Amino acid sequence: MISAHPDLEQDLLAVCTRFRDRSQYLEVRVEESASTDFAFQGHDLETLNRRQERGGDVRALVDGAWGFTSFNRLDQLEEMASAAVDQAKLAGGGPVKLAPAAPVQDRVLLPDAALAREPTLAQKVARLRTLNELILGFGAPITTSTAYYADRRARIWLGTSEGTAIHQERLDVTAALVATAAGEGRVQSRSFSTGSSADASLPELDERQAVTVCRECAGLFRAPKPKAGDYLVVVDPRLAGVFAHEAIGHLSEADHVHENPQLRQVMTLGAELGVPELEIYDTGLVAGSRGALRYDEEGVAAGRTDLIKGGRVVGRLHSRETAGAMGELPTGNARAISYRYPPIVRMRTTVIGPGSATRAEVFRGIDRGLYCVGSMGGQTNGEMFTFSAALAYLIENGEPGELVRDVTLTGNTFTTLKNIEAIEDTVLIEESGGGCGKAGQGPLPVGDGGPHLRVRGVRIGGE
Amino acid sequence: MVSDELLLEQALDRAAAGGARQAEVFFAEGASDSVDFEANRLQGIDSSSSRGLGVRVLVEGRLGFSSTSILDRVEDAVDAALDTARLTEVEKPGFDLPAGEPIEEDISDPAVAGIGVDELMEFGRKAVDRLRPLADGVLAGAGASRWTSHWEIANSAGLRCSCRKAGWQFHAAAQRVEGTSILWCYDGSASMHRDVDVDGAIETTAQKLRQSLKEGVLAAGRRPVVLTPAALSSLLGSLRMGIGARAIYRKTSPLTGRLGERVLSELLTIHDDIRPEAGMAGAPFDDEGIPAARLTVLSAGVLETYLADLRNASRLGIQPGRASRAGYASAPFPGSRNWIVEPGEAPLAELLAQAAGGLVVDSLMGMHGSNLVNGDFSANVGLGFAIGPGGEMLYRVKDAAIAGNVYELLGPRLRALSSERKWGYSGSELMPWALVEGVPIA
Repeated sequence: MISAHPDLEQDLLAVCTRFRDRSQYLEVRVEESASTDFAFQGHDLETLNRRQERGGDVRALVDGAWGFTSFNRLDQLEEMASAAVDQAKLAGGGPVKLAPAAPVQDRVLLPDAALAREPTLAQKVARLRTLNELILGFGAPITTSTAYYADRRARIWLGTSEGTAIHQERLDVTAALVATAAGEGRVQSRSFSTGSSADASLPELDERQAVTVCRECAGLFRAPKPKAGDYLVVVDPRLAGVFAHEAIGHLSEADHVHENPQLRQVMTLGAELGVPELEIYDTGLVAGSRGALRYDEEGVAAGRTDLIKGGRVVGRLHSRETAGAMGELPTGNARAISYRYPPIVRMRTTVIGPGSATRAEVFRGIDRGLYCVGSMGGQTNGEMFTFSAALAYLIENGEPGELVRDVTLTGNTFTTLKNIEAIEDTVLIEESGGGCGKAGQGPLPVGDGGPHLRVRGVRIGGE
Repeated sequence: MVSDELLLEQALDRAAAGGARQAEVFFAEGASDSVDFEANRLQGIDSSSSRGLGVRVLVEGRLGFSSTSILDRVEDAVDAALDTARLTEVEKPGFDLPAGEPIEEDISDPAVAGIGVDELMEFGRKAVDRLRPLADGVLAGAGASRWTSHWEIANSAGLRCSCRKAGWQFHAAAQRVEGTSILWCYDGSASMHRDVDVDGAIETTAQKLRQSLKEGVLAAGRRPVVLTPAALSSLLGSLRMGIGARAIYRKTSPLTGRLGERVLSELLTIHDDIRPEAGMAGAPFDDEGIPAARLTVLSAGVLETYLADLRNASRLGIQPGRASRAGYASAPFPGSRNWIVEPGEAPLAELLAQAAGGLVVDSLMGMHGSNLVNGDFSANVGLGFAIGPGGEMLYRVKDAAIAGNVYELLGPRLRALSSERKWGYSGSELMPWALVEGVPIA
């Protein structure tokens, strides 16, 4: 019987070998994880949950078609491998051709230092309680708060019929502080969130952040909404990062591109999408970022992939399947949120590269505009995007002034990329606590970032 | 491996031995098959099974929770739950896990449990064959799945209940990219019985696609809007969030303290129904073992009740019965189940005729970034159509956004609900179309 132990990947390799003549390709994953999450609401620790998981999955390719099974009982592993092969056969053939990837045998463990720094659960709760009480003690108009913490430590073993055998440890930690002001029939919130793949102590989370969240929330509570209309906008690194992820990152995911001839034309290599100074890339190499990754779920090394350079499309994000279909190289972007899902093309840390303007130059000469800060989420259908800024300031005579609330930016992605007027020379990658959702798999830990950007003609929603 | 019942009893015994005055074990297992068609072809077949349990304990008045899918180490999960209970707050008095007669029900319809992978593939192929030829560059897709589940609840008050259930879902989708213009349309539903209308979902998707081949814009301003059942459902998300007992207890909901008041238009009467016959989210008992019942949430716009689990019910002094869990790994939380909106009197055609010069909104993008608890939203129209003088669909409206407040739009601005209703994609929402006057369109 198969059970979780440090060299499990070698056992998985042996299972894969037994199915070599029944499939073109077969991979087996086993994952064991331990998670904790807790949340304060008001003064109370409202939830505190711990979770232990062990499960596995098998993905089989037969005649160019996939079969996939996932399960919790490891004693059924061989049966489930057999079932995956049967499902793939039942599909009756398909066009899937995997791009070649050299087999890898490796072990990627979390550094001992990261583990040594990890506080106990009681310490984590105590720290969040202190920050939460700071928010509650701020006074009017703040009426309530939320403070949230979650961590997940996973061990993942992978074996493939091509000889790959990898054991990886992964850590994902997130936390958020939310201040809420209520009264006069209105509710207004402001939050700060952070995350890490390397340091469970989350040093970014401190008293200063708790106070800032309160001040901004109080400001927003009294702030007016901006008048709807088209604005000259400056977005901060957090919002620029969300734009990189939502608007360009998703369009660069090759599973969308290769199946879609029209999109393939829009995103054809060399196509001019943005201003010449624009550079966007996706990388697994930002240490500590929630998008940091050594190997993806197919065992392909995750490096840096340039997506846009000189304003032109220069690359895209691939799994072995999409790279095979498009005759390009795998990029290490095949990811799955857990053993319950097959790997699909996903981002890691997506970044808009630096330009040449100083911060002052980005703002210089703006008579009337809007400085949009932080993100409350975004959505895109490829062509149109909608993002909510956490807060915004009216810009008058080149200076951010009056605070405004409920700012929603909408626009056409392609037009907007050509309307970028200035790109700051400094990139900031700040981790946040959310995650990415795609094809029912979410939240997946990712990172994003960028410089300040000045963009003309962005529509601000409202009445 | 020990049997399920024995697992539950062992966990309860260990919790009691570890000092828990009250304890509850929720065990769930399930199996599903699903097929996924994208870009005109079958992408893969997925067969999955899962099993695990969640343990909740009350130690010295404090709640702890833990879950595991490692069923040969259930004692670890019990110990972890006892451990977490050392750190939480003391609950309000009155938190008592329910006793009650044992319930053992199998509500799975054999006609659904018997749907095979080959049949699911057939539905998907049908969608692709029908949608693909409708226009140049159409990428047709579909998803179909069938699942069975079994769950059991046992608690220290002596409650023992279990249920078996089966369900399935189908949706058809079409995507079309022309230049930098991207269109998405889809339709489908889910059910515990064979009544998901596969052909109907394919035809509705085909119709949306055909109506979208012509595109145009609509000048900004206030216009009448007809919300489809799917769009109405996303606006009613504000109400759904607002009546959850946790938001009421925390006073983060604008509906706090407003029972008996008119909060939305008198045209709106809404029931939350957990009974198995009410829809896909039905079951003989809620996820804490309280027997199923229908609750009227809104009666002619007047707020009648909040929805509570045991914990928030004891905090607020109201009835429990609306506990949900997102699987074995989730502690119970309060929320709605099948959401049934009473129909109006006028046929849809009449609503459309009254909305001449306005917009049909089928999907909204970016709602989750809005201040939804408050009701404030600003969202892009994902799929919307301009309405002609006779109520006909003229063209797909591009680059439009609508904004406003849900309590205003579905309050004083709501003019009519249609007599026709439609099941939502999840199979747990039955909604009419809605005519709203003077919606700000940007």
